[in-house]
Amino acid sequence: MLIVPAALVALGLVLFLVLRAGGGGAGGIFGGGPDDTIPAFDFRIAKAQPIVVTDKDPAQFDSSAAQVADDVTKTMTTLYTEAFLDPSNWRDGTYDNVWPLFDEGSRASAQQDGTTLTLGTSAGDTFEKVGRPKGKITVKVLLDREEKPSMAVAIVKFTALGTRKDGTYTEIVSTGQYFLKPGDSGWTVYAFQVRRADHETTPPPGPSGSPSGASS
Amino acid sequence: MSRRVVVVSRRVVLAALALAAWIAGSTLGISAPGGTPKAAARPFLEIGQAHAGFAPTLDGSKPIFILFIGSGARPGEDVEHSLADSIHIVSINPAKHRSAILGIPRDSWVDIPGHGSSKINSSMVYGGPQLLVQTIESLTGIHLDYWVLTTFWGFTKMVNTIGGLTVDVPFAMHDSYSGSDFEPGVQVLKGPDALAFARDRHSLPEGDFGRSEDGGRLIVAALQQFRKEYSKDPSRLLIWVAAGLRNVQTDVPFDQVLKLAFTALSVNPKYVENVVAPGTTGMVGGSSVVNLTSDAQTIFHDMAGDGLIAKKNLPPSPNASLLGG
Repeated sequence: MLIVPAALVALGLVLFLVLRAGGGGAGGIFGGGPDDTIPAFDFRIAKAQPIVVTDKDPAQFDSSAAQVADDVTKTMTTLYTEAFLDPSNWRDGTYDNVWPLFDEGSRASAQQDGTTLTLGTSAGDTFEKVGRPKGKITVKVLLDREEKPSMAVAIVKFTALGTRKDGTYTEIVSTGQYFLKPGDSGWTVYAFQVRRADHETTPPPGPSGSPSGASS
Repeated sequence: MSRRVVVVSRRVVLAALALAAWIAGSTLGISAPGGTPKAAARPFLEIGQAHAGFAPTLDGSKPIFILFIGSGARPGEDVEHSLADSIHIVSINPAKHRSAILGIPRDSWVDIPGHGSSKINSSMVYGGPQLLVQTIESLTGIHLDYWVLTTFWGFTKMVNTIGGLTVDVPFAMHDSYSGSDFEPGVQVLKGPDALAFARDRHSLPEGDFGRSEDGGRLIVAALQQFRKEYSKDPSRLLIWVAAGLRNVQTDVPFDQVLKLAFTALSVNPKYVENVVAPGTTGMVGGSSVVNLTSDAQTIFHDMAGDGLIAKKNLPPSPNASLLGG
């Protein structure tokens, strides 16, 4: 007599897990646990602009600015991937790989502003999944009197779709400007002005009717 | 097992399954595929508008003094060894986010190290900006950290590069010598007009004293505009820095220029004192000179401490009669 109820409870559990997976949540019985896949992401470079302090035509330095833009974009892509997209970071709310991207002078302030600069320490309690990242970057490069790149400003707009544990969706929006300087370990952030404007959103159509990670 | 028991059990289990699915859905905010998600439970974390910002500034433990010099050189002349046309000490107290601008009349009769007494503006002819710095340090007791030198045409280009300077012209100015032709009020001055504003002394009752104050007025206007533009678009800082460096000569290291620019952003223009060292006019050898008064010495001494000037030591504006003061 006990076999039938036990089997039915098991069936109920299966149904629950199936529903959970179908509802857009990460993991589920078919997902093999929480989905720790990092969505593919790269900032799209909209513009690279040289700014010179000599009387030379800035256009002469377009290729130099483009090279800097590539390097700066690598830093910014890493920053946003670590701060918003890597589930192993946001699930437990630690972003240890983000802070070394800020130089010594700005690191402490960046950590204090972690709620804005990352998905936050309690993101794992809120979000089931973060995907569909998109990012656009414009890089302005200041060349010094010796015509060496001395500072760059990365003007960024980043969005991603967060699937909340309550089944709703949040568009994560980060816009701002990061001042970067070249150093031994590449370009690091020297100063920043960043805004977050996250807001609730409806689920956009996805390949399977649920949000999924997608590269920009 | 009877057929009735099996039917009853099946009903109980179906009900339990439905209940379990409903509870699961409600608790976790999950909907069936194709269903409309609802905010059954509010999120634990709600981020709306949030802002993060950091700008590196110079150390706040001591004031910074910068000498701004306008060279009187004409195109083709040696910029660094011409008469100084305008002289301003600009101080920044980073800890207090305040600043002071002290204009020194170019005809001030002073001791020039190694060259006896002469008008202060001639010290640049004798020994370039370095000797002018030395002269002013000796006169005021203020240690000047850096000097910045520009020309008439450099200033004009600088203002044009940033798209003009918004200035609240305090009184009517009409002077054919400088080319000033302004009615009072807030207006955007392009390079040549900004230069005319800075050079006009004939419209002003106190001549060069009033002109020196107007030079300070332009510095305050620039600070105000720089802060405003930065708040809208921080990358404008690069444009300002480049516009400056392209059109000045200076001993400020490049890296320090950036820090100074960020430090300047922390100063509220409302708290910038703009004064001119008081003096009386006289004649030396047929030449009109300015003899700085003891009030000027009091200001120098005051400013040397924390870079600021106490209210009690503020001299009256040389343009007071035009300002209604």
